[in-house]
Amino acid sequence: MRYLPGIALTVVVAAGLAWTSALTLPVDPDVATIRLSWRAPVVRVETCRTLSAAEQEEVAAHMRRSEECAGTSLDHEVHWTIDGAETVDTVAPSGARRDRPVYVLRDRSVAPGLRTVRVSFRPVWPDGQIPDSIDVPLVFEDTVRVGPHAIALITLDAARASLIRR
Amino acid sequence: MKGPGAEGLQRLGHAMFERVDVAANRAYTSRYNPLYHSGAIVVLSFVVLVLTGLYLLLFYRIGSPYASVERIVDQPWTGRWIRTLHRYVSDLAVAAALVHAFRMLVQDRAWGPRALAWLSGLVLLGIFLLCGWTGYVMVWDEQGQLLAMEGARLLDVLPLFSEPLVRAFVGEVEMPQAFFFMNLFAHIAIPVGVLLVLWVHVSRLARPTLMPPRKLSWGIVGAFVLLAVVWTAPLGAPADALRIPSDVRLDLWYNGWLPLTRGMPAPWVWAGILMTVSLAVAVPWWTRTRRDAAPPASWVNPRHCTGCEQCYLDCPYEAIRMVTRDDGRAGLVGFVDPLRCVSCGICAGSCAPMVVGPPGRTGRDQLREVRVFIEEEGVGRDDIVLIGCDRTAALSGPAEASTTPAFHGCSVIPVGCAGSLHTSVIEFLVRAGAGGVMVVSCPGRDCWNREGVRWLKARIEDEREAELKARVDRNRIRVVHVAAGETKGLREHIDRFRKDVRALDPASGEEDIDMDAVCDPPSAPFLQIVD
Repeated sequence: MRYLPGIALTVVVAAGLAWTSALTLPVDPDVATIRLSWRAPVVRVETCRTLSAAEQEEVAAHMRRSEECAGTSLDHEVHWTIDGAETVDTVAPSGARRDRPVYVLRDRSVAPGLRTVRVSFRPVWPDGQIPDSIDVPLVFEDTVRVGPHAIALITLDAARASLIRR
Repeated sequence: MKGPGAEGLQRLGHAMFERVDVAANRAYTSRYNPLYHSGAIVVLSFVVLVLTGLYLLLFYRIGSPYASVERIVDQPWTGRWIRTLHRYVSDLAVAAALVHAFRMLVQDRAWGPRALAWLSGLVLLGIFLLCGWTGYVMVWDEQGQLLAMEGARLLDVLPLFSEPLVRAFVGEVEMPQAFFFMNLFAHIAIPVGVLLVLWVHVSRLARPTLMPPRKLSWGIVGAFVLLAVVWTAPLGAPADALRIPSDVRLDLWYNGWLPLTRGMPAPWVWAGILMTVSLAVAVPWWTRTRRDAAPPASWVNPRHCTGCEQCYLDCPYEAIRMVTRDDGRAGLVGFVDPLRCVSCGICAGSCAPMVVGPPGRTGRDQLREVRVFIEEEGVGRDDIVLIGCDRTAALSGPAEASTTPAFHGCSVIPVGCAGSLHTSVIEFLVRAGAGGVMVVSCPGRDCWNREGVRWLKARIEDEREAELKARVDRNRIRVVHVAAGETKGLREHIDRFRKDVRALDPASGEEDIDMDAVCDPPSAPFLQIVD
């Protein structure tokens, strides 16, 4: 009996701890997300020149090359428009030397329902000029239905040739 | 002088703990007050977590984490409450650790030789938090999903990985099973670190108390088992990379920070983490007393030390060791390591020849002070003299109009710690004619120097060196243990003692008490006690 107050207090404190163990995180009921997520190979623009025989002979035999190239890895632009509201993001190649793939990961909160979505993904060419021999940018354009708390993921297809909604 | 705000925070903490301790002592008695055992409760929690975790491990499957946890919850007689117990006790571990840390900070026990305990304690807390993180991720419900994504987001800021980790959780690629294996491995391997760091945490303590008293331990375990049986911890909806988590139940102790950080850029979160850790790590320097104001370490007078080893045995911090003499004499002599000594003075109370202690607080110094006290204040045959440690209830409350501290009509002789009190002081007061001597100490498990109360009791009752001599009338001595805020209780003790003293034959005082006769003559022939 002597310890009854202590036992009761222990149970109360334990119950308090249990309550703090499962606090409800408030969540907006009317929200959904459009998510862009893919990985693209890095695009590198290089200028190469052929080395002369004399230049090659200056270098040790195991290090000789026929060409010398200098260049840069290109940033990419993501233009995405949801119901007319446009956002432009620039994504750089990853890695300290910018030689790793380009990773796109963007989320935007939207109201649930039908959303008109347009996404284009293209490298940023020097001087804004796109060489004719390079493929057109990746584009996704569609009306997307997204339910409450759902995430509509736009990513590359299995062939990594076009953007699809998954 | 401490860092800015440190003293203010400690005063505020004292005031808070004074009230809370009194209430808790009423509910539990001071012997079983959980606040006095906060550190040991963390260790108890760890033991329960390991035992329940071993059971859960039998049924957890990394190939289907959520489904395996569902199966555990579906075990009505075992799995359901064991999983819940595991979760609630993990919260208890963090809560008890925070109480323990705050208590040590408020009691000024985080700096100097105790800085190692503070810093290792921070590491222990970090280990528990990390372990809890991986534990919640293991379930792979919506809460686990949020935690995993947040962790990946924070790690992606660091230049460690060739590919963003968060990609594994956004639905673009299938969840690699290796992730759950790594997470489980981390969750099991990290607690091994607890044992190692715990060893460091208590390495500067003699006889560390790792577990609470048995009754308290079983009481806590019983209460949490009962709670786990009647209030099952919820299991959230399964994680889905293509759904915004909408039914998330956060654990305040392990991921209560999530709502704050989710909308914050990752570098800012790292900045917040670094700032918090830096503040916590800086506590030993922030609360440190300036060197010229810090209490000096104890010192052994090698000329008079008899090598009895009592101070070495009694020191709660293993700051004293016995070393071979370098003066040509045989035997050992005590040596105090100033880097470990916190100047508690317990060694002063242990030494029969009174040759060890902080300067100004040896047994000899205490006798000198009590002689001055008697000359100036005098003691009458009905007088009760209180001897109390600096933190006792006897020295709290409104100051009475006197140069000598007083409480409830009794003069108070303060000592640094009740364990530093030399029993010769008690004998001296009784022989000088005091009606009674009451030693007021903190409750045993709340002694700021860990073992002061224990050794005081042993020296008075159990003939532990330096023991209170048998010739001293025990009827005129009381030892009480009261928390700082228990002034009412102390008054009641004093009133009862006064009544008992009045029933005794009137005390007769001695004049010119010979200090050399107070303690037994030294056994070593060359030892000379110099006044």
